[in-house]
Amino acid sequence: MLSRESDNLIVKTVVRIFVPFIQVYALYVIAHGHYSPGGGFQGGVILGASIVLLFLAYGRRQAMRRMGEGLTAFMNSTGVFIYGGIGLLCLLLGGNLLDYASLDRILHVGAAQSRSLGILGVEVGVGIAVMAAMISIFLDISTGGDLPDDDND
Amino acid sequence: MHAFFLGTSLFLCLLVLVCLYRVIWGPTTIDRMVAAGAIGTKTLIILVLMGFLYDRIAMFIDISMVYAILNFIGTLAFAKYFEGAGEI
Amino acid sequence: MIWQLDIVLLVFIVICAVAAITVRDLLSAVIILGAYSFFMCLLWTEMGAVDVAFTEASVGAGIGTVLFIAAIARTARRSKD
Repeated sequence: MLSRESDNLIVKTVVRIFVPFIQVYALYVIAHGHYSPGGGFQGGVILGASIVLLFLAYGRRQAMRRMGEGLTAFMNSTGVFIYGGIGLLCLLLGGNLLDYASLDRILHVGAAQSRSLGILGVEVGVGIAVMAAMISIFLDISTGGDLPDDDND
Repeated sequence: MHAFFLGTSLFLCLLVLVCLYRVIWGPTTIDRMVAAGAIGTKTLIILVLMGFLYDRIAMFIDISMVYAILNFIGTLAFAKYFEGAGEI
Repeated sequence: MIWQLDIVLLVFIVICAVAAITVRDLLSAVIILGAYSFFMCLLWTEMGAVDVAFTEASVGAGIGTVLFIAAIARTARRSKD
C-alpha cells in the first residue's frame, strides 16, 4: 500500500508499455514450438508472468478489473476444452484419440498438413490453460485464499 | 574462433564468481538482490556465446530474450516486498 | 559438451545449493535459489537440452521467484532452525 500514488508513476508507465510486447513474444514462443525451443507450456508461463507483472505494478484491486477470477476460471476450462475437444474430434472422425490424420476429413488439406494444424491447436489450448493456472495460483498465494466477494472500489 | 568464444565465456564465468561472493556473503539482503540481477545479465551473454560455440545461434537467442524479460519481474517483486508490509 | 564450462558450472551449482540451505534468512535463500536457477539453465544449455533450459528459464526466473516471495510475505521471514 503506497502513501502517495505518484510514487509509482515510473513503474506503472514502464509496465504499461512493456506488457504488450511480452505477450507478443509469448505468442511467438507458442506458435514456433515445433521449430525452435519453446512450445505451449513455456509460452503459457510467459503469458502468465506478464499478467502477474500487471498485478505487481498496479495493485490487486485495479488489476482485478482487467482480469478477474471469473475470467481466469473460464480461460482455464477453455484451454482444457480445446485440448480434449481436438482429441475427441479425432476420435469421432474415425481415428484413435489425438490421431490428427483423421482431421483430414473435415479440413481436406492432406494428412501431413492436418497433423501440423492439430499440433498447433493443442499447443494453443495448453498455453491458455497454463496461463490461467499461473494467474490463479498467484492470486491464491498472495491473498491467502480469502478474496472479498465484491470490492466496493 | 572457437577458442576465442570459449575464452570469453570462461572469463565471464570468472566475473560471475565475483558476483557470487556477494550473493552468498552479502551482509544485507539488497546486496544479494543486486548481485543476482548482475548474474542474470551475465547469464544472458554466456547463453548467446554458447550459441556461437555450438554453431546454432538462432535457437539460443530465444532463451536469452526470456531472461532479459523475466529478470525485470523478479526485481520488481522484491522491491514490492521491501516497500510494503506485505505483498499485494 | 564443453568440459571446461561444465566443471565451472557444476562447482557454482554446488556452492549455491549449500549456501541456500545454510542461510537463516528465508528471503536471502530465495535470492540464492534464483541464482541457482540461472546456473541450472546454463548447464542444461551446455548439455544440448534447449527445451529444458527454456522451461527452467521461464519457470525459475519468472514465476517461481515471485510465488516464493508471495509465500514469504504471508508467513515468517526467519527460519526456525
